[in-house]
Amino acid sequence: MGISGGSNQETESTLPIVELRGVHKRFGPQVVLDGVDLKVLRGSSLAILGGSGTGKSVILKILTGLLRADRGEVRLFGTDASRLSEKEWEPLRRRAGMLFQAGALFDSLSVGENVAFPLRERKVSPDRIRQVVRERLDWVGLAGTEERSPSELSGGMRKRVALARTIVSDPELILYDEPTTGLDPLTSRRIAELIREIGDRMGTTSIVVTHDLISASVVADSWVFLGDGRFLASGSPEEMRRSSPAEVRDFFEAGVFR
Amino acid sequence: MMTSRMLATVGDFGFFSAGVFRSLARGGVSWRVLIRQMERVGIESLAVVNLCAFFIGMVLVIQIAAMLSRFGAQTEVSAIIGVSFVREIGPVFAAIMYAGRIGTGIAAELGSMVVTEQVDALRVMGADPADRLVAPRVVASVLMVPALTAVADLVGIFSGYLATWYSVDFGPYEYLQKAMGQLTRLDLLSSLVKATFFGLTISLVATYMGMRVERSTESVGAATTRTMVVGVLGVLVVDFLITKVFLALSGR
Repeated sequence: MGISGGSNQETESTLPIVELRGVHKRFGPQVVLDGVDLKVLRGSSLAILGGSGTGKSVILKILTGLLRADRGEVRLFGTDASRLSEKEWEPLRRRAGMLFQAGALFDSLSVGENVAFPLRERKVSPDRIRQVVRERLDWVGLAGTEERSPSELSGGMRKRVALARTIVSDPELILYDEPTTGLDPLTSRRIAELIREIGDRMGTTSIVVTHDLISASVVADSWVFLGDGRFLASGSPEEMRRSSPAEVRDFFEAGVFR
Repeated sequence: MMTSRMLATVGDFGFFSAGVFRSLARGGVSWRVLIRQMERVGIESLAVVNLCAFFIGMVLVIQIAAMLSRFGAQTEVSAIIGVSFVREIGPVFAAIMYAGRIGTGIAAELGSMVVTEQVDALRVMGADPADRLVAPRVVASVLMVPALTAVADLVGIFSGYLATWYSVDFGPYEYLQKAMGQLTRLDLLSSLVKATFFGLTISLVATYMGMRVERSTESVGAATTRTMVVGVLGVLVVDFLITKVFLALSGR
């Protein structure tokens, strides 16, 4: 039990970066996850689809230790993370990043201070911080906004600042919780393309929880569908569309604009 | 059952407070946040606490002087005001105003941070919410409430003097002498100790309510009202306990 220190880089790169086995989670009487199995390989891009409130975000929270699974095994970077304490989660969390649904920017800090936050935790020099912050803000199309306050920005801009903050520490794995929900189609597309670019340029593994089929098709190589607390279908978009569970087919039918 | 849930909450609160003390013991409190919090809680509550003390001081003097004049003892009013303000009225009213102004503010602020996932974001980025959010607010309150109480005591005694201007034949020097004359060192110490524990109580309740908010705006509103109610009740209970302790200490 505990963290395998000195993990061998060679073995780790062949292991799935994320693994869930038989994960169960309930909130009071409501069962949200009922035996979830998942394997995500390094460098891949996965979209987790499903109706609203089905537990997709719960999976992401379990993967970052914000929630603990009731039963089952959780493996992150080859380490058993099923029963870790907050302190033990630290080295794992450092290697991952998460984009929250509404951005979760700290409203008492400026844009620049928000983006710099993860770096300050790692004791990077102030000059280097300023440089990296500028680069990341530039990448998401928000150059020169360091001094502004999050409350001044639109929803799409806030998402992009949050995105910059997530990538500022070069994480190996990024979890996206409904990155395009609540945004107009054009902004959604831009965010989806940015996420794709991040995966391509930085070699990050991406897990995107969404019910936006268009973004999912831009971002992901493979899809899984969560329903009734389990993954009902998986594969490429075409395979999913032809999938047998009616629930899955209806979802895709509804998402097609004719 | 109601009682088992209440016990669970009390236990959770104890666990939460222990976490705050652990954070302080580790020296993990964020200094930047602490300074900013001290500015905020000190400055924001100064006006309301002193306004309150001002009017209470005047009303008390008028009431007490009226009573004392029946025995021809109205000149003793300053002594009574001095002692009662320092021992009880100053600390308790300053604490109640603080709970209303700052306590509810803290609960609302932390509550909305929970709802907007900012607290989750802190954890995912490797920061400890206890170090970053809770402990600085608790320390700021423990330091500021005694300071506010001291100022409130002075304002109350002074406004009492203003009230005597028209009713009793007093010189300012005479008034002050009588007011301070009855105060012992133990009285001043008890005022300070009370204020410190009031600050601790209010801030622990406020931060607890804020951090335990559920994902709804209704919950944030409920947390702020509960902070006021539980905070004030807590202050009154702590007041009773400390008063007993100091009475025992002074051998009375």
